[in-house]
Amino acid sequence: MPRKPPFPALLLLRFWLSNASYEAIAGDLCEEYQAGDHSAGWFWRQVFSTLRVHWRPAPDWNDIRPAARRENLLSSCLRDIAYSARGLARAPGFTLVAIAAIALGVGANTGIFTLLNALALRPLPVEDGARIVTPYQSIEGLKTRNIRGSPDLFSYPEYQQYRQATQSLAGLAAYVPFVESALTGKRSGLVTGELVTCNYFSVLGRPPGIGRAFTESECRRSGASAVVLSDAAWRSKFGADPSIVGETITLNRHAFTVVGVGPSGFAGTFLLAADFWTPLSSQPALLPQVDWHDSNLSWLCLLGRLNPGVSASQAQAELQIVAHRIDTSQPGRRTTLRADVASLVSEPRVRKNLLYGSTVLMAGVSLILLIACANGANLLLARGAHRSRELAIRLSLGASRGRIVRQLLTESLLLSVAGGVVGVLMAHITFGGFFTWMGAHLPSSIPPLAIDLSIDWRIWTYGFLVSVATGVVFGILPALESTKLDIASGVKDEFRGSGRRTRRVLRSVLVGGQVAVSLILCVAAGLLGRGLIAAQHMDPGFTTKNVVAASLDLRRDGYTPSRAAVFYDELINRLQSENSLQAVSLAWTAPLAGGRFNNVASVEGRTERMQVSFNEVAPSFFRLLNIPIVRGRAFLDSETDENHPVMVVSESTARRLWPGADPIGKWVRLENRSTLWRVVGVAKDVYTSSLMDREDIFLYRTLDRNEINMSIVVRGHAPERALRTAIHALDPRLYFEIKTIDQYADTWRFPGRMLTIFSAALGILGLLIASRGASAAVTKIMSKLLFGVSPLDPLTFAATSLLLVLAAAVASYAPPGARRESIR
Amino acid sequence: MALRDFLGEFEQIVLLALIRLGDSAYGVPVRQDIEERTGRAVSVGALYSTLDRLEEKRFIRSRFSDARPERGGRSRRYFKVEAAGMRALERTRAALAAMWEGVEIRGN
Repeated sequence: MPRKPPFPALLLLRFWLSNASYEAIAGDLCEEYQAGDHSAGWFWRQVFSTLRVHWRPAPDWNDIRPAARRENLLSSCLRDIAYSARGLARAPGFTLVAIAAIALGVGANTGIFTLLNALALRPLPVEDGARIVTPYQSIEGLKTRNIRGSPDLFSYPEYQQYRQATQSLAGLAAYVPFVESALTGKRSGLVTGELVTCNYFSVLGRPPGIGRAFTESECRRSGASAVVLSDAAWRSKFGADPSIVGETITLNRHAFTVVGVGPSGFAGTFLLAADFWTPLSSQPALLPQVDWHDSNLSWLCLLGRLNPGVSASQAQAELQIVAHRIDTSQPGRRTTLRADVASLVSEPRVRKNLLYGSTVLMAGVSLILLIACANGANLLLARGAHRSRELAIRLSLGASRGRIVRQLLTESLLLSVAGGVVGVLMAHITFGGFFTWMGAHLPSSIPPLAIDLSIDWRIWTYGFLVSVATGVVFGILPALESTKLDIASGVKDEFRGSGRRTRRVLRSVLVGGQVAVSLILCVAAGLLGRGLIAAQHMDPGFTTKNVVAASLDLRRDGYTPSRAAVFYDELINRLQSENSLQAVSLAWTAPLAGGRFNNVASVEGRTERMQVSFNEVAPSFFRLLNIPIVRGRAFLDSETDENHPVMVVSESTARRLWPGADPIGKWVRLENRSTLWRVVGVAKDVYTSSLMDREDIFLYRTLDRNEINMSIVVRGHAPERALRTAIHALDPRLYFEIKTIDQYADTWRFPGRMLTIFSAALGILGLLIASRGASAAVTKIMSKLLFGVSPLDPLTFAATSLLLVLAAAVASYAPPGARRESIR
Repeated sequence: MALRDFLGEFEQIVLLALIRLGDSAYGVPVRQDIEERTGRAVSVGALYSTLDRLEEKRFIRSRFSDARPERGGRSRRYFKVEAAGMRALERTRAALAAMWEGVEIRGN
């Protein structure tokens, strides 16, 4: 029975020794070990003593021994690495500082990439996700098309044609993302789900963890039928009830039987996490505004599993043929089909925007990397000066400059890759924490995201590439500079400590650059912070105090237009008799809720058609929100419906549409309508639908009483309770949410707040890295003025950092012009 | 006479072991022979660093031979003492003998 020598010990030898030495030494050790006289401990001791012996001639410069030239490139690289590792281990302070600087830079970059990876690069979290493709069609030449979500989605008849025709896909499933629905009964709340085809779970290869997927008969039955809950919803909303299968839950007042609970950790195939899945045929119950047989409706996302040996582009080519066949049945229609490997964000145009957006973010984060590079280069230059004697000796012994540059580059690469590994891990920890925190602070209107930020090979590859690039960038200059030696004086130790001019200039430039870049970051962070404070206290232009709104989705609850009109009238009557309320009003969309109608309109006195935004409001709307009418009048109390075609326009709208003329009495005609709407008043400019931007052209028109879904707005003491009571009294089963206008406003403030926190973090990070180099520079200047200040003097270090922070603070406070820009 | 013409203690020991073992002189028996006769532990690393040095000085030469399974498929490196090596040994012994003449160490 041959004894196997310890493999790691052999590996160590292999790593450390030249080919010839390894052959003889490892061979001898194995032979003796095989003979059985020695223990594994003896083997290890022998290996370590060999390593020590081959270490001892410390300047073990293989470049000056003739034997070394015969060595292959790999083993000489390994020796370079070993030599560098020993050198770095001898200077732990330098090594730690350099690794930390690079880790911060690479970490910030990798963090952003992690996000991009999770959204647009990582395959879906399903069985063999890299084999799942997601087709999208972009249709041209159609006059009309009904759209839910995106125009690039599919109708159900289209889906069936693609599914029947495909040979390249083992299965093609379809789903409707983000279907909001009211869960009532024992547990109530707004839940988000996906309507799916029967084969959804089987195509994805993720069958429900408990219970089963849908049966064919459930998929055919129109209306309410079966539901599969997501694992997360089962745990959070149903307390992980083990007997949930077979129970009935109520969604939009329709009873659904729970047939299964999704696989654990699976939250659907869309960016926003799904709480449940139901068959597509439950559309009448859950998505009453569309019709699932409509062949001209974009609403289905498709997911196909590639057959073995078929590529995504082959599948795309095949589906394109089907698309052409569909085109011929509809004159004028031209469909271009795309099928890419599916990720959370795979719609082509969204993905493109995402890539642009993240490029901008990456550019910002790259500034940090730049600082880290300059910092690393500076450290290496300082070290180069320190070891110039060693380098001079090696050069004089006949080592080529290229060989030593390679050696020095190996050292910087070793540093940067070590920094990269630390950085990737750091990014994983901090960004994971950041997103958990962000998730906990999301405004309630944003549903939880289903993104997976764990580390995968893409992140490691990216981190590695960034690290290597960093290592080359920060290593090459110092390496070239350090090897430009005057050998004679170097060996004679004459210039030790007297850095040459170019090196001094180079170092100053590097320090200056770092300070400049981190100042830019700090100023940007400061400005954004300033903007944020302004946005937090920003006045939308109308009263928000004690104002609440309820957006009612009566269509979901099966109301008809006439029943809805009765409901709203009764609700208004009830609320008006409440003494605690000062004002009650109705509008199509609540202020700052983000909604608005967009339409094309013809306008009196102008030939071109204009893009306009508008809201439908009751007469009391202006009074309730205290929106001043600066000219003309608001709606009269009798002007409550479309029989009174009157409009109020905003000030800037009046200026845009009728410059210099009196807007009162002018008409506006909306596209596809014959009615001429007369302008009766001009309202002050306010932020009506969002805090982000103010529409150029905004109109308020009287209510359309055919609308089923409206928002009710009230102002008064404890308005929320009064509103809730009144709605409950009219329809106790109605599901609705009441929000203060400030809560709506928070939705708009959220992205800015995140951006500010993010950029402030970047600024601080940049400062952190740069202040080390900067304080050395300041010390230098100070030591010229005052003698006896040592480099890295803690007081100077602190003072420099403080100076930079102060500069940032001043910069963010100073320019009032810039501030105004950031708000308007 | 240049300094390099004399041999260090361990160099002499190694050269003597090589001569004694003759054609079967490769790492394992050399190391074992030295350990047995001198009674002191010799590490492979130390042995090979001396062997490499002697080869660089052209006192010995080495060749790789048959790959063997008990060595994990690696070949043996056999060593042979060159004429220069023999001369160096003799010179060193003569020098040492000359130096020892008339010297007595007491107390041992």
